[in-house]
Amino acid sequence: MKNKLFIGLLLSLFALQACVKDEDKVFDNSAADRMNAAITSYRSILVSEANGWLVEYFPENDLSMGGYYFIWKFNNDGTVEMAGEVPTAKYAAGQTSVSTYAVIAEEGPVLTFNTYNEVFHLFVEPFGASDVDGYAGDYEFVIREVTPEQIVMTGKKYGNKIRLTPYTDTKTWKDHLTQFVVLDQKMAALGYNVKVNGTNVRKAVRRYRTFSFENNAIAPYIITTTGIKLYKPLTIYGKTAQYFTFNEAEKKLVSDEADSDIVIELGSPPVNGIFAATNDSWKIEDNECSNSFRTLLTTTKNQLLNGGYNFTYNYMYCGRSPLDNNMVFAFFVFQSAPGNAYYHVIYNFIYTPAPGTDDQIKFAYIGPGNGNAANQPAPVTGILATITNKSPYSITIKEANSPIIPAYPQGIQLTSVADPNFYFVIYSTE
Amino acid sequence: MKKTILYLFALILLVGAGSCNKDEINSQSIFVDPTTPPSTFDTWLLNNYTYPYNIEFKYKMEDLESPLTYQLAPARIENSIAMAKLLKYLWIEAYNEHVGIDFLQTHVPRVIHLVGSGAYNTNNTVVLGTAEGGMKITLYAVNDLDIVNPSIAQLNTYHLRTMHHEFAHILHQTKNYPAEFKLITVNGYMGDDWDKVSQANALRAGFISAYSMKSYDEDFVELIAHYIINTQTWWNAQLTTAGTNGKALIEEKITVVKGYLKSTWNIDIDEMRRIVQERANNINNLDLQTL
Repeated sequence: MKNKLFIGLLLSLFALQACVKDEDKVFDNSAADRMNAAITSYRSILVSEANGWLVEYFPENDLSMGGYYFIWKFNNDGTVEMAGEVPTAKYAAGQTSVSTYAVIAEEGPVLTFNTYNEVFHLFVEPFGASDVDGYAGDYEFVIREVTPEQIVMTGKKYGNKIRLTPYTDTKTWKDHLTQFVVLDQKMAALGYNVKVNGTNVRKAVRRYRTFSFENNAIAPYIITTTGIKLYKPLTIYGKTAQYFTFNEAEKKLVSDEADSDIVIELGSPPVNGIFAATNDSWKIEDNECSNSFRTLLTTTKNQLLNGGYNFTYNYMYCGRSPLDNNMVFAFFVFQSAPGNAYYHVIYNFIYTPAPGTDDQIKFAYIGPGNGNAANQPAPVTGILATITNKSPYSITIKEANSPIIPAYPQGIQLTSVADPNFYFVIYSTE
Repeated sequence: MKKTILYLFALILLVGAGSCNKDEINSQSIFVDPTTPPSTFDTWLLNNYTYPYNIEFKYKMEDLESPLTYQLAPARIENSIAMAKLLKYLWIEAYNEHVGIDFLQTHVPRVIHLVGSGAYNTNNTVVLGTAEGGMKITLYAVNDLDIVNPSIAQLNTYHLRTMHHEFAHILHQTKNYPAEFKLITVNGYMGDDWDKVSQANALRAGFISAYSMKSYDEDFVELIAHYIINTQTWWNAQLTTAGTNGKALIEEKITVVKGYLKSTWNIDIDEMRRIVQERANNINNLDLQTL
């Protein structure tokens, strides 16, 4: 009890201290006034760029898509004009779409794009119950640094750094943005070899705008007019670099930093080795397969639908199973009606590079895997036996018909070496 | 002695607490929205939602207004315009026609918040609407609305059923329904496992939808929402599927619902249904693209 009394005495002393008047003022204005002033000033800087701002935008929590450009032009009436590199259903690359923006007060000043803009929010919207966060991009940004030369913000939800610089190019928005898409395609390859001081040190593959190395490290980047800029500097075998210039004749990216000698060569590693170890699951695109493959698939679909489980067929896939990490060929189905429940009917396979080749792969069926495979009627395995028997397959890149966001490799065609009329086309679902 | 000391401390604390309150409270928010002039749509909303009903119609998405766990995208402006006109015609004016404007002016939620995308859960369900304490209704998937040829079936499933559902929550949160309702299928409620039940099995167990099986409050408002937006033919078909036992349970529940709405709110749900459906049949004559 005595202790409590002392504590009480102490607390009441604090109360007496509460009104000391000789505090030094650090700021001339209240926090709210300063916030209002910041918002007004940021807004006027945003609007001041009559040609717009070039924006380096990175979606995804783990930056696994790399970076994409937008051009944003802010108007005084609260509207914003946006153009981007990525074509959407209604807008071609570089075409402008208008929506609204606001600079609002939260814990700091926040720039928000608060009505839907198809060009921009395709990075934001969820894809549905099978992919609840879509490309996981931010649409609200905490403003960190504002100068006439650049604005730096971080995404409110995912924290990725977004940089805006005044758009000064004399090219049209469309020409400026499409040059990156063109360069991106020139730098495309199934695999990459990373060299330090002339020695091979790592193999890599590219997905969207990110290099994935064989040790699972990733290096997200954005395209520049001459090559690429990594999201942050890459250190590898003691060398560090962030900017690379593309040498089209020699098919390689060479680091810009004077003291670094990091080179990323296109297309060097055997592609069959890369695909045999893929971490992605790959959707088999029915419409782009050979007739013989499609006929087999149709038979299999009907067997699945009549197998007593009231399934609705969704698609067939191969590569890494999302359920158990095995290499598989599998079927993704709904039960009864879309939206009710998803099932995987999975068959395990062995993927091996064909000996003595760089671009041929063999598939061998070894038995039912997880999911509902064991309960399916035996004839479903017909397609699996044929896939095995037609091995090996040659691997070739195929352009996607209408890419919303072009993944790379956009598509792969696997053609039976023994029977060129038997082939199927797959797209990464990652 | 101890008591005296305690009183003394209390007094000092009071003096301390009271000594600094010389500033007057300003009625303005400390944060000012800088110089964005209202659009034509903003003015329309003021005249059609805010002034008559004191509703703030938030079509510009605010992350803080929605559950942060979901990845969401804002609504398209043209879809928000269409939704504002549809809700006014199919929901606000339907209630006005039946019970007069005072009713909604008193009980309407003060905020309607539109979100462009659905709020998807990883268990394969999607949230189409939420209500918070009678104050706010959030409607999701507004970008899925076809503003040229709106389908009443889709509107009912996605948005209108949600509006009636959430508004019914506000009504029972204001004045609760008879406790006897909770006893009719007292053992049938299963919390979040409702999504594993098919519509037919829900009906057979005496519930108008699988979601009704989540809790008795959801059961109560699902009955109201489904009854108002669907025809008697649809309702009878559900009762047939429900079988003898299910049908008896559903009919017992809807009798309680009807009695509650009539005695507590003077709402005749059959009349409400007639008005709502008459209006629903007329939506293709509405111009949803101009204000």
